[in-house]
Amino acid sequence: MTMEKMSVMNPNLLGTQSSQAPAEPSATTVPLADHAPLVIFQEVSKWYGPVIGVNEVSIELRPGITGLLGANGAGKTTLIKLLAGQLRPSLGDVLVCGVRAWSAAAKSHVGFCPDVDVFYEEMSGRAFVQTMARLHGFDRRAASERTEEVLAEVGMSDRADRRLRGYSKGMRQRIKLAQALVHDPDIIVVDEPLNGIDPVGRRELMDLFQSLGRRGKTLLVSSHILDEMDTLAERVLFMGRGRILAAGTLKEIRDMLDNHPLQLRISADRSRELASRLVHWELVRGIELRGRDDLWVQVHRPSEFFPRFADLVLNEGFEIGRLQTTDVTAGAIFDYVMKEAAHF
Amino acid sequence: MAIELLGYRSWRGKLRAHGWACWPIVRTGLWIVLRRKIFWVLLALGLINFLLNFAGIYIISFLTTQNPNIKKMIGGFLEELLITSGKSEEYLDFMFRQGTVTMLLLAFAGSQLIGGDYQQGGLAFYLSRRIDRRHYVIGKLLTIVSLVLLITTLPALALFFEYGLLSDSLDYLRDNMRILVGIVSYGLIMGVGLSLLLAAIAAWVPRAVPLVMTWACVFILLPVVGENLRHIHGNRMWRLLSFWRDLRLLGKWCLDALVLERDEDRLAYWAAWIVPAICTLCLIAFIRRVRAVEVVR
Amino acid sequence: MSLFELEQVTHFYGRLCALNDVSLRVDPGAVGLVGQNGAGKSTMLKILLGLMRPTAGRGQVLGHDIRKSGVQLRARVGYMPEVEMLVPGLRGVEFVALAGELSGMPRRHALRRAHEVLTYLGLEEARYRHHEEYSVGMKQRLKLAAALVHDPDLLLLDEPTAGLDPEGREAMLELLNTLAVRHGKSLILSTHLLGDIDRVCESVIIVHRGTVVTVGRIEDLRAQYRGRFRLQWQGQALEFLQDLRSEGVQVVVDGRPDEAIAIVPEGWSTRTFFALADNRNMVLCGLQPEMEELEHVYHRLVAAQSPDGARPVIASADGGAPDEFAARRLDGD
Repeated sequence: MTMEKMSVMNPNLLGTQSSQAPAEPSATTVPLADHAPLVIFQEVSKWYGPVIGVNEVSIELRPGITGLLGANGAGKTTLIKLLAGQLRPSLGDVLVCGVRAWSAAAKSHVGFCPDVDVFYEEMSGRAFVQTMARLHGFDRRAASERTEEVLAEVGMSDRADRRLRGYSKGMRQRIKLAQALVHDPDIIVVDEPLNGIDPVGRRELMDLFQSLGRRGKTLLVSSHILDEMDTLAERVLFMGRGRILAAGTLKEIRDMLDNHPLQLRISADRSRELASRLVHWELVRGIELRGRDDLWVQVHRPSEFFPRFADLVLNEGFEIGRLQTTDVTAGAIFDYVMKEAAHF
Repeated sequence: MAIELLGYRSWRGKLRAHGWACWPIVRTGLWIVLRRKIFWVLLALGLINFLLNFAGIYIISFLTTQNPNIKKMIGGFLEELLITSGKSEEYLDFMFRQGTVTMLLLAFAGSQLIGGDYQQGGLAFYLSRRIDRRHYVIGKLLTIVSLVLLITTLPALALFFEYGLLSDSLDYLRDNMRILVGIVSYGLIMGVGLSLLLAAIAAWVPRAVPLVMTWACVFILLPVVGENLRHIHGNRMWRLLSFWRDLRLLGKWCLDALVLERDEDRLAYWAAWIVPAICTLCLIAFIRRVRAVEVVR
Repeated sequence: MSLFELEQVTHFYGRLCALNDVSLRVDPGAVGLVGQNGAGKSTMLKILLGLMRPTAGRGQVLGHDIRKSGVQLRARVGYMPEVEMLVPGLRGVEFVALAGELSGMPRRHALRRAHEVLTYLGLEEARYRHHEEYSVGMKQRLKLAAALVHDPDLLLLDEPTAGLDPEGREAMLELLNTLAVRHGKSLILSTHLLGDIDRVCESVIIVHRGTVVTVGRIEDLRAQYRGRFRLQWQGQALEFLQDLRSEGVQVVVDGRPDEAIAIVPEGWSTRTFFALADNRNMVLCGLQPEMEELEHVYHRLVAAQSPDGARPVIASADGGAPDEFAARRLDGD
């Protein structure tokens, strides 16, 4: 089943409880996934003059964190802006909590943190967030309470009084996040949220996102830093050329890529002997020797491979130093999906 | 020998002396200005002025050979526009008009030429190379000076030599060396004055529209204010508020064309203090803006 | 010869201290530079480029004094800034040729070399287009080309992968790796992405609040975990984990499903993992020796620096750009 067909046949794959997933119920079953989807794209297309941004996209987003991955120019920013109600779809509908994203009512449900920043440079961060809160309809007292809460969440409480002009990139990002969260929306859309933020801050903000996800918010995070997406996103959407190429958890998507056998890295005390044993197995598609003891093995049907491998280790007495699946990462899957999508 | 294909190769050549770096800056600066078609309109105006004069001198000298009295028959108005008798005031007027065209050009070019370096990271580019701040400063100033010279001085010199060569004898050239020196001096004064002023303003106000507005303040608002104050107080000194007028006064002095009845020698004396003072301030302001903070944020 | 040395370098912007008594000696190679914004990274880069004289202290880069020989220094150093560098109206190759000329190369040499470098970086087709039209990835490579055109010995790179999509990022890191390994260029890579540093650099400098917290080889900084493994499995694991514990193995569950960290006693054989799993009808699908992630290294070393509750006397944490006024009062160079 190719990627394309998958995405057309199963628009609801995102958030569907793992009825089709391999037989390993995840320890953290997320009951939130049973909620009705908060965001629905119904065959949405958008073009700017002759340039098409998004081409018949149908997805649903449920509570939790969804990662949006794709090359530059794939349509991610257009998708995000459609969700945030800044663009109106040329075809199809974007529904947010039941109302059209384009309407004013939808804006109170969505918090948007764009990748560009245009601030009123003369304001202080605190004043800016407070103004945003007032614009959402909070009265003065509620606005300042919410502002303080949200500034504490993003870690800017003590630094928010300086003028925005003097802020570093990281501080600007945090203020952007704060204004996206200030009205406590159910849906939060962030585009490259960790740009310019130092390693400690990245960890803090990723924890913040995860806690928001656990609280039942729907987050859509678009980022190029795939190793962070690995930890952060429960489900991912791959986009390319304005279309959705794949949707689901990383494991699900990996399973679908059956043209690409699973890539394992194995090191043992007698690697070459181990290689000579493995090469006879039908399950094993290829073995590469790298370095001194490393074997890079490609296997079909991993669920059959691992038990056989364990038996081999125990019977022949190999001392295994490493047994690692190297391509269930967002990075590797990204490569595979892009390659797959190029076939037609 | 290893197989190279399209890999990286190293380069160990001889580097030129530091000072040479100014030339690419000037060349690039001129290209930035001259490549835009909008500026061609202004350049066309200057060109038309030059060509009219050029043709005028030629035609008049040709007609004079036919009829020596032609010069008297030429209407007064032509004398205003063209160089008919080779007097220094005429060169002054010509250069003044060309200078006005240049001044307009610089108003719009400033944001591309210098302002752009602050907004689009050009400064980071220049300063991170093997040059000092002073090469950058000199290079940019030289760009504007060359632009000014190109539009005002070179045509004036061409007309001067044309007039001299087409006149009855070459005595004109010998007797009027003063005018030659004056033309070059006026050109340089205008060049230096305009370049420093533009550099200082553009460095602090880099965006196009505010830059044009500031420039208009200096060249339109201040003269109007000065003129009105002169009316009110009856004191000619108020005219010195106009930088452009000050430059013109200095030019008059260079070309020995000061109108003494209107007290211009006294005004020129004061102008000789004001213009350098403003230039120095502009230079300081410009240099202050060229700093390392812009290169690494 | 060392790559660069800094001796007791201190720098103030007005009253704000950006660098406090920094002394470093770094050997040639690929070095990462990490730290919060406002910790002094950009100040250090400016000083290393010879663009700014520090308030106090001495130093030299590739043998050139940072105070006196700033210009000669920049002949051997290439800088790839984070900000966009645009000189309007130039085509890609003209831009790079201009960069070469400004570095002292004669015009024809600069032009020839510009073509060569742009081809090497994959901009062969785009080099005749105006560089305002370039995509983000192309602009990054153009900046790198401008930094490489005069064949410097040291490259200073500020967030080289900013704005690049995963493919572009991978390509850029691969390129930097090749330059460092195969062509012997030294790199100083200043970035927030520890993944980039891990991929390209052998050593790392960690700056925090104006001081250098650490400088050293990444390998050496990583805590040596002996006998620490990460296990992944399929199936029910509770009894398996209990068995492990009864064998004297310390088991740590860190929240990820179907995964745990096992800290084993001396003389442990990994075969025992397989045996115990087999006993419980479980299949092991992952076994990796745990190595400290660079991120943990960073946290560990930086957290040790900031005493709880103490307000920093020097540069504010993540302090942003120093006050405009303060910055203007002390210009370098």
